[in-house]
Amino acid sequence: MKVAKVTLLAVLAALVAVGVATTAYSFHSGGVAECGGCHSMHSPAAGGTFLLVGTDQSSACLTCHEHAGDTGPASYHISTAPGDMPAGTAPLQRTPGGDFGWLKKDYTFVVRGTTINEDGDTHGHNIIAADFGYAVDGVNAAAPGGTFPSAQLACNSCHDPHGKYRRLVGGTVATTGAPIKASGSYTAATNEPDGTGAVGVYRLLAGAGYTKDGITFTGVPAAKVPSSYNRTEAATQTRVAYGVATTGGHNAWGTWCGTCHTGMHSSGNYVHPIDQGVGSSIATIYGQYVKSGDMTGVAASSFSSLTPFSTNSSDYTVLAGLAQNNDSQLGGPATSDQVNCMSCHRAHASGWEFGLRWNMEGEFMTYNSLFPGTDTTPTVPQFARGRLGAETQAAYYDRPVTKFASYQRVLCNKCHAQD
Amino acid sequence: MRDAIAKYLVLALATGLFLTPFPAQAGAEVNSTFLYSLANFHGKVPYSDVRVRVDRSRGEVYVVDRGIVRVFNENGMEFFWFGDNPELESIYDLAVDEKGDLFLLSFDLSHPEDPKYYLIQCNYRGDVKAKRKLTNLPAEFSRFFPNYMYYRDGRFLFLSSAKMQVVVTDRDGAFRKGYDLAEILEIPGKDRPNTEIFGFNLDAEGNMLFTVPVLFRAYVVSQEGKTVASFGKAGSAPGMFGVVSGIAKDDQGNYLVVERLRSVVMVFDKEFRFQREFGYRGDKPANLIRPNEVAVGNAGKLYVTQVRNKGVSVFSVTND
Repeated sequence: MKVAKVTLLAVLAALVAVGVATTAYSFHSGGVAECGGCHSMHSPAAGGTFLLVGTDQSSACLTCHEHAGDTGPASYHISTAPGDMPAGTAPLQRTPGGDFGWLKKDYTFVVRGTTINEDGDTHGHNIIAADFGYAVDGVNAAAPGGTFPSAQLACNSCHDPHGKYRRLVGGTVATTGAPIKASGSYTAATNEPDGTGAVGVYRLLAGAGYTKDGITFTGVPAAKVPSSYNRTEAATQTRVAYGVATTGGHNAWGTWCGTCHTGMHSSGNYVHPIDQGVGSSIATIYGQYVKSGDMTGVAASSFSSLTPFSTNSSDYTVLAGLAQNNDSQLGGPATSDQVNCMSCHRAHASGWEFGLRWNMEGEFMTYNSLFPGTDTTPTVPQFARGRLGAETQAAYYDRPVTKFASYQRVLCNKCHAQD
Repeated sequence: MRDAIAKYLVLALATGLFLTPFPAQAGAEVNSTFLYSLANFHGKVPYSDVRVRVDRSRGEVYVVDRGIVRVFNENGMEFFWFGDNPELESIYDLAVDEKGDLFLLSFDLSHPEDPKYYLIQCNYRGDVKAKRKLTNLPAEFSRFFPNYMYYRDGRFLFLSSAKMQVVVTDRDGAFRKGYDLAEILEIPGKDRPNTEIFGFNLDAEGNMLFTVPVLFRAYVVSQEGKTVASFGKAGSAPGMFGVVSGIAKDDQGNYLVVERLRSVVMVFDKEFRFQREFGYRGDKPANLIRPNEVAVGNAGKLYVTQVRNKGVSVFSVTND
């Protein structure tokens, strides 16, 4: 009889719970989301895999992360629907990783009598999402500097869709242990592990032992980002605070990217150094550099989200303090802070070739105090590269042209000041 | 004996709990039939995620895609297009008034740091008659930037789906009324950045219908700003809400709600009881691939947008 009463209460409680479930959900919350959000037990995509709701893994992600009808940066959207970026307009999202919509932006222009085609494929990581018009990289058969097959590239190549990697109270990262209570990406105290639970690793990134198509990650990199991260930088910058953590299941940022782009990492390869301290000379230049021809800056206000760096700290509370979107933390690098892949590239895609944060295909980023464009600077098509001036500005996250010199040279100079 | 009664009660409640995700079906039977996809003389127009508007008084269908407006007749054949005139800016939405004048919601994104939008009045050919900005916006709507537009009885309704704000203006774009739907739904400030509307429409009475996917819920809000009703439960069984999007109310009083994850349109009766659903992911003509928006036409027609170049599918939805 007692058992029956207890069971009755439990059933009643469950019924009530079903009836009043009106709480808002953030879906991932740092770990595995609701299974039904990505998988369908009885009506999965025909011809798909893993009972996913999309034709492929990335299509399942974009079911939520792309929304037609956007007019600007919106929440967790990381891709602009084609209908929202007609010819002559840029993709709309402004996440630090960049809008995958740039992959669909092909540009054709003529320089000195030669027609040049800039394929959208060159603008970033070509995830394959058939439902949303994203196809395999038409140029690279494998990851540059590595062997990962382009034909397998998807969101889950870099992100663990089940979000099993968690940061425990002691600071180590593991796939088991305390339950994940929240995202570990953001800056609030609740986004740190405590006695009640662990937090997810930054952006559900792949951690040690995560294997895809012949490559295996060996750790996750550390970072924090403001909770409002998908936003225009017309007025203030969005600072992602990249960290340097190499123990307890962590990897430095360059090492993490080098999992697929092995030959691009400076360890054993004659390429631009990464995961190394910038040193005193570079740190000084970074602090002084304002724009071409202007070295009057001060280190305390020298940060640019077009040239971010890794703060030499594995302390997530330190990183949380730096991750701001109100220009309250614009300090430049200390000598031990590091250059990483993200210092020059965006992780998803950008408005420029190779996913770079600025246009490297010409000497000038601005021309005659204008953003280059077929409308604004028609006499120098090599700088406009088939874009309108507004598209160029959008690729710089809407910064006003006054943030740059009248003839701004490329941002390699932020560290090297050769201009 | 008392033990036996308790056991039967437990069994009955457990059965009830199991059946809860499958709401009871009641009322007249709803039928749905795939009719055709919007087409031109080259065949099906391979649209992905577009905006569809129906001028029911003239039987014409407007599709806005990448700044171009294509006009289809009642049989789904394209017969006209416009949008290449720079005066029209980048067209994002469209409404038609009683006289047949077209009103465009257009964006000027030439200065990304300061985007602008306009209400552009055109004749039926898309020739500009007037270009207006919204005026007299109160301070709380000073940063309002709409992405949906509707016309009803001499007034325009503009929606910012990301901010969950609605502005109602007169024909000249002068502010008349505003709604903060997030406030009406009492959404906490901390949740607002990730809470947005995926589907919106007006019913015949002028009520605002909309879906909020992260709440797994559809809402009906009156012109007085009161929540008249809300419905929906999270889940993946028929009639349940996964990622809900477009919503509309048809002439029979059915509420039609798009469920993206299962690629279906769900039909609820006027009492919000689940009736049936149709579509399902697949490549057959009657299937859908991640549907998004719906628009109601004449004679029970329902226009459904989707991705993967599957075009705009037209169904007949009727009550027996």
